[in-house]
Amino acid sequence: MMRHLKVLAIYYRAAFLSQMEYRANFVSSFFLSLLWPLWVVSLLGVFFYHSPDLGGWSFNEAMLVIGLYDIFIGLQETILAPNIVQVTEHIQKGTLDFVLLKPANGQVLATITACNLMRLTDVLVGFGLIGAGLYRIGYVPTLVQITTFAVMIPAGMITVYSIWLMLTTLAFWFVRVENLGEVFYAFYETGRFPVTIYNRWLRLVLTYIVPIAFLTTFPAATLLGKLSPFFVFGSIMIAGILFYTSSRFWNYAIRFYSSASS
Amino acid sequence: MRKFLAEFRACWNLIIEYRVMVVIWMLTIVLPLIMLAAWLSVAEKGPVGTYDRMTFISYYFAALVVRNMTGMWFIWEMDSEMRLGSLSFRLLKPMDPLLHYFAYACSSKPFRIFILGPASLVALLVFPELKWAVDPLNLLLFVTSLAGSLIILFLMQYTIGLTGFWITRSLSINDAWFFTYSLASGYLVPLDLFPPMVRDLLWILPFRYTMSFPVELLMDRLPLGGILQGIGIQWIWVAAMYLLNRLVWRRGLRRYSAVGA
Repeated sequence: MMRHLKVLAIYYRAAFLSQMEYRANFVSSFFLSLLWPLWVVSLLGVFFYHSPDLGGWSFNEAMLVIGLYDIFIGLQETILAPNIVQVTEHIQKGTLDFVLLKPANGQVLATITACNLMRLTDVLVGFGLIGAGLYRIGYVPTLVQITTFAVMIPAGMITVYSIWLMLTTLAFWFVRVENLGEVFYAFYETGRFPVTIYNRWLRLVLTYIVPIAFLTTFPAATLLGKLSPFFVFGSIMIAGILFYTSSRFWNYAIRFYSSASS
Repeated sequence: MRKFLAEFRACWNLIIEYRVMVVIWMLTIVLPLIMLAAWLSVAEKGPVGTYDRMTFISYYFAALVVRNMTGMWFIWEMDSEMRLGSLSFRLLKPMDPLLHYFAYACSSKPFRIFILGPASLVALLVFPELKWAVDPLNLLLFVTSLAGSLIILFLMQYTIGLTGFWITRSLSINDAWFFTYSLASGYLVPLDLFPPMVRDLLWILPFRYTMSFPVELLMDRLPLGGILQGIGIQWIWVAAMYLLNRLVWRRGLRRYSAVGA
């Protein structure tokens, strides 16, 4: 475990150094991240111009959900998406050998070593939106609420990682899987709004089948003290089950990997 | 025209090759449907302005059709061609690259009609209360407005792509542009639902004529005079955008220095 953390630290440091070469990109991506809350607040503004609430959430509460959406998009683009591009390329070209031959866990090396630090700006903006929302409500979460929130974010991240891992693993058979990612993004878009706005069936799908609700709506609810502990445990359970399943799937699929020449 | 057709045929063959991908791209345009779900939850308590639940459904389905028929994504290709230098080969051809990119932008449209046409027909049969005016005259006007919208959007994206002559991040400008477009065009929210002052401002900008105008037309919310006026304004924007585009093109070409050029 410690050894792998050290390996990861080396990879991330290298990525940081190489990306700092392009400081202008950093600045422009930061300004782009700032546009996004502006956009979102105007969009929400139109709804609340006509209605006092959206699926039972006030304007300020909905800002928390959007902040979480931003955090997950940011984390996903920082440490998941670059790896998916990389690992599918490795599989397509047959160069995954070089990764698997290294003396560390192949899954770690292949699926979380690449990162794009530019998009961390989205995570910052996301926390900013949550802070702004809480400030405007005038609500201070209790220590318990902050703790459960702090547990649900990594749990959500593991959930997203596992879904991505399963989709990526399909590349061993289908080679071109980038488009499956697009389908997941389409589901992910629903996380912009509290899950309560959707009709019953869609809500069930988004809670139990593609657990988007556990990423944005539920952590926001827990921070406001509106979530039953059932869902907090649920979020940890889902993360655990999906992580176990997806890792098993990866290790199973890797046996079908036929390198370029063999 | 012959050059355009040749380019179009080449791009069209590519689309046929990747037809499954086109279908997936079509299915992943979900943003309007999410907005629809949000408005439906608001409209449960009663109509919002002049919009009741059925109006919202008709609006966002129309928006999906318009987005599919006028959306384009060629700037990604343009960006890589400019950075990697294959634009040089394009410049050697006795043809303005504008024609190539325009053909590329249009190439998936027949395929999309092929899918959307039957889908819309089914939608109309299943939901006869869908508020779409589908008499021949209105459909003709609708298609005309789509053409205007497509050309405005093409010229906007092409001009943004050309900023790649000066900066390496024209795609970021495109992202920022999309934020503006999605809000200001009526793609995400019907313009009528904005506060009156904002709405009046958005009517002056070109964005309305790329989305909201064709949608309103299809939903029969505009008088004939308004429709003709709208089409006229579309072409004024086309002319303005074209002039701007030529200006940027001429300035930018002088600065063009691709790898190895």
